[in-house]
This record gives sequence, C-alpha cells and structure tokens, in this order.
Amino acid sequence: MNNRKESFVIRFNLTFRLQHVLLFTSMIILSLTGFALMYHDTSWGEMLINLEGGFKMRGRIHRVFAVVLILTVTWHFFQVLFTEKFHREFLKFKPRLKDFKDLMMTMKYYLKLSNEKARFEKFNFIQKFQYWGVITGTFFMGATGIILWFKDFSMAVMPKWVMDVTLVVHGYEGTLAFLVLFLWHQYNAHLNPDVFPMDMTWINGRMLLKDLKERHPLEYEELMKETKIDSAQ
Amino acid sequence: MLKNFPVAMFLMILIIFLPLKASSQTAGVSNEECFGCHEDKSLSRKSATGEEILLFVEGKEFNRSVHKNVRCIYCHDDLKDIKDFPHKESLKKVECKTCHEKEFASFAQSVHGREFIKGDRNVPGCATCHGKHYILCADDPECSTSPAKQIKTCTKCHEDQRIVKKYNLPGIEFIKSYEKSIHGRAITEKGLIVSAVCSDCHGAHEIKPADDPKSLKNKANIPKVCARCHDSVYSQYVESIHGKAILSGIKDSPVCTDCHGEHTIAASSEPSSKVAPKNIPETCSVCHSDVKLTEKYGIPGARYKTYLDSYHGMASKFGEVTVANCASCHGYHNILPSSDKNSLINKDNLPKTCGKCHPGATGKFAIGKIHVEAKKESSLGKYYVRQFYIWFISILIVCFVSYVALELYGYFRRKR
Repeated sequence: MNNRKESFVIRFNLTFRLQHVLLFTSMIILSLTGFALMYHDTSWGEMLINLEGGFKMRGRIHRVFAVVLILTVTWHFFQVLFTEKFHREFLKFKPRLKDFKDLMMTMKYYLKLSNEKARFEKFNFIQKFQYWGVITGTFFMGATGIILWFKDFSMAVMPKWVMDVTLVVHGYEGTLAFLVLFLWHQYNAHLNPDVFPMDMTWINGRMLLKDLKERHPLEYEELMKETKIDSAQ
Repeated sequence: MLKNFPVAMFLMILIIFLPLKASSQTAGVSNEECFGCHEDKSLSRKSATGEEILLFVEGKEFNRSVHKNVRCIYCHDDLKDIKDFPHKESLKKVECKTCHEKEFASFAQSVHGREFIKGDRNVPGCATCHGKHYILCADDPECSTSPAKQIKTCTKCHEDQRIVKKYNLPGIEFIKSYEKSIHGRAITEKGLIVSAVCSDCHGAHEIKPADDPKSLKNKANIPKVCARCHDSVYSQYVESIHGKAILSGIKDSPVCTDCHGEHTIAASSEPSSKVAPKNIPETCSVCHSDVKLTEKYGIPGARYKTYLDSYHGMASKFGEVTVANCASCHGYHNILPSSDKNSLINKDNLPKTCGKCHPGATGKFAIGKIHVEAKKESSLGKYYVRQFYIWFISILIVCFVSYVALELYGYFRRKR
C-alpha cells in the first residue's frame, strides 16, 4: 500500500517486536485459560475449559504461558536496564508533566476549543500509559499468580484470607489488563482512523517519515537535527 | 413317696406322650397313602370358576421340605378323620397360623396382612412367598425366601406393572435399581448371602408403610436397621451431629439413606454413587443449601455455592477426584460442629485436616473463613478489594470510551 521508496524510521526494533509477539500470545492464552476458570459456572466458561483439554490441562497451559510471560518481561527488563542503547529508549517512557498537558491539549483540540495540536515525542501519553499499565499489571499478576501456584508453600506462611484476597486480585487485575489491552490497545492499533485497518509497525517496525512528522513531531525534529549533524560531518 | 419320684415322673411323661405318639402313628391316613393318589400327574379338579386345578404333589420333593415330618392331614385338617377315598373335592384353606402363630400375628399387622385378611387375593399370603408343599428351610439356597431367591419372590409382584399401578406402589425402575446396588450385586455377582436383601431392610412378615413408627423404613428406625450389619458405622453416626439430632427426635436430620440412597446404594468408588467424591457436594447441599432448613436450624447456608466458587469446588465439578469435597474436611459418619473439639474442622484440628493434602498448612493458615462469600460481614478483605476493582475498572472503561468518542468526534468533525 505504502510506497516502498518512501523513507521510514525503525521505531520498533526486532527484539522488541519479538517480545511484543511473546507478550500478546502469552496474554491471549492466559486470558482464555484464566477466564475459563473465573467464569467456570457459565456455559462459555465450561466450553473453554473443555476446549483447553479439561480442568487439569487448562491449569498446565495457564502456568506454561505464565512462565513465558514472566521470562519475556524479565528479558525485557534486563535489556532496558543493562544495555545502554535500550536504556536510553526506556528513559523515553518516563512520565512527565508534559504528558498531562498533552492530554488536555488533545482534548481541547478534539473539542475544537483550540486549533493547536499536542506535539509528541517518541512516546505519547497513550503509549506511556499502556507501557506502564502492562508493567504494573504483569507485576501484580505474576506475584499473585505465584502465590496461588505454590499454594502449599503459601499456606504455610500466610493466612487463608490473604490467599482469598490474592485470588480476587488475580482475577480482577487480569480482567483489568484484558480490558485495557483488548479495548484500548485494539482501538489504538487497529480501529483508530489514522491506522485502520492495522498499524503495521508491530510487524516491520517501521514508521514512514511523513507519519512520524505528523504524529511524533518532536521526535521527527530531533531526528532531523541528528541527521543534519550526521550529514554535516 | 420321694423315693418313688423318678418312677412317678417317668410314668407321667409316658402317660402324656404315649397317646400322642400312638395317635400320630395310627389315626388318619399316612402321607404315603396320600401320595398314592396325588403323585398322579393327571389328577385334577375343576374350581368354582371352571379352572382346572392340578392336585399333583410330588412325594420326593415334599420329603425334602421343611415339613417332611408333618403329616398331610395336619394342615388339611378337614381330612383328619376321613376314611372313605377319594375324599371330597373342595377342602378348607390351609391355616398356617395353627403352628406359626407368632409369624401370623406379625403378618396380620403388616401392609400385606391387613389387605389379605380383608380378602384381597392380589396381596400375598403365606403361600405366595413361601410356596405350598415344597417349602424349604430359609438356609437352603433353593428356598424361595433365601437371600438369593428372595429378590425374585418379591419382584414377582413388585415388578408387575398391573399390581404396581393398582396399589400405587413404588415404580418398577426404582425396585429394579436394587439389582445394580452394592447390596444387589454382592448377592447376584459375588454370592455373598450376608448382603442385604429385601427382608433385611423391609422386614419379612412385619412389612409396614414408612410412616408407621414401627416400620423398619421409618426414618427414626433406619440407622438401627443398617446397624444390624454396619455396626461400627452406627457407633460413629450416633456420636455425630446428625446422629444426635435424629436420636433427639429431629426428623430433618439425615439418616443413612438420605446420603447413601436406598435401592441405589453404591460404593463411593462407583461414579453413580450419591457418596462418590464428585457427587458428595450435591448430596450434602440438598439440606445445606436449603434456605428453609438452614434458617430453621440456624446453620450457615449457601455452602454449595461457596464450595463451587472455591478451587476445590471447580476442580470437583470438572471431574477431578483428588480434590477436597465436603467429606474430606468435615468427615462423613463422624461429622461434628466446628465448636466441638473433636471436630475435624475445629480451629485446633484444621492444620491437620488441611495438612492431609497440603503438607505444611499451619495454624496461621486457619485464620480466615473457608467458605467465603464476598460479603461485607463475612469477608472484609475480599469485599473491599473487589469493590475497589469494580470501581476502578468501571471508571477506567468510562474514561477510555469517552476518550475514544471524543477522538472520533474530533476526527470526523475536522475532516468535514
């Protein structure tokens, strides 16, 4: 569809794309196996459990993909904390006051209260929100999940009511993550009129320069400055 | 005088028994004489309604019977003094009660006896179950009332559609289900004659309707009836909360059959059994999820729902058997309230009870309820966490949706 000769930037490098695939596959399977249990008393919950090979197999699948998710997140963290290149990238996710201002500005713009469009850096407030949402969600899900997985150990060290609360947190936190990803993220990556039917970035990692200029003008300017310096050298 | 006492005794005994002996030897016809005619297979007579009645009695078979030493004319006592043969055709009905007085008295009080005496001939009398000339001792496996043969004897009527319908008896399917029960199979498949057959639970001559307080099937009597064989279980049961309640006259409390079934009783290893691990929650919940009963006795309700919501319940529902059911924690015959220090679910015993499956479960673990409903009164932590998430998620969704609506609104308005 796009002219291949048009210039683009690599926004989403191969390791991140791979992590993204691992993340969403494990999360989809975790949702399917998790909701099957949470809604076991409904007909579709029962159907899911049977599709997943019965009660025991459902649990096994859930735990296997929980391990996949935990390993992916751990891998990601080692990468962004200990490699300079990715650490710089990671720092761009730092929430700033500007993000809130951007949100306000965007709303004003949509409401036609102002004609000024918020100018984004590499990651806008939506993307930052989503990133930190996934991080905190995975942390909560992982921690509560491990407590429930190693139940005999947990029973030895904590009262039952803590485990009851843990189970509630695991269920609702999962629901929250599911809703954020499947409503919000699907909207932003697929249904948003700017990218419909799909933002291809998750596959090829690319963003056209003209799109970059429009959607992330601050990053674009930064890039132009750098390339000018580069070409000047 | 005293010197002659033994002699006098001997003479007296002789005087008492001699005539009896002599008369039994001499008066009337002997059995052999009767068989002389009655062993003829063609011997028959016409009844009042014109039916042909065979009068054949096989001497060999009769001499195997429990009555082999009883003379024909004892039962057919209107022939006692007869001298001319062939004797008159229609004889008096044989009265078993002449000898079996006790059995008849109990039969006369029974469901069968009451109707039989009124003259209803669809209802069994002595001969219906025991036969006539060839009655064997009940120890004899061939006897119609022996454990092995008895089932057939009773089902002759109780599986007869016409009779079942006429007297509004329990359905044939229900009667038949006994054959598949552990008791029925013990008899038919394993030949274990000590297993319970009809008369062991229902009585024999004294069968009464369940609402009769003397009936073996009356709720108050059932534990005792089962205890005839299952004595050690009974001694546990009477100590349990259910047993104590029954003994104190609380009829709502379960007896053996409420949990185990009656005709369908099966080993807990049978998937169809009411006490199979998978089916236990449903069996207990008949009472423990019943609003009326739980309120009447002030016992906690919704036990089934809260169990099903637990991991144990879910796993059990989907067919896992290595998971806790009601009995795993509460016991079965020995169920006691948690306040009793011998109860498996007493706070002090919980680490041990849970520890059966979860080694390492501590006293600390037992803090908190097992059957949790996310209600403010019963589980504060669970309630607030849940409320928090419900609000948090709802607000977040509202924000998302409004943001998306706003964006689309702006997008298309500017496009126009």
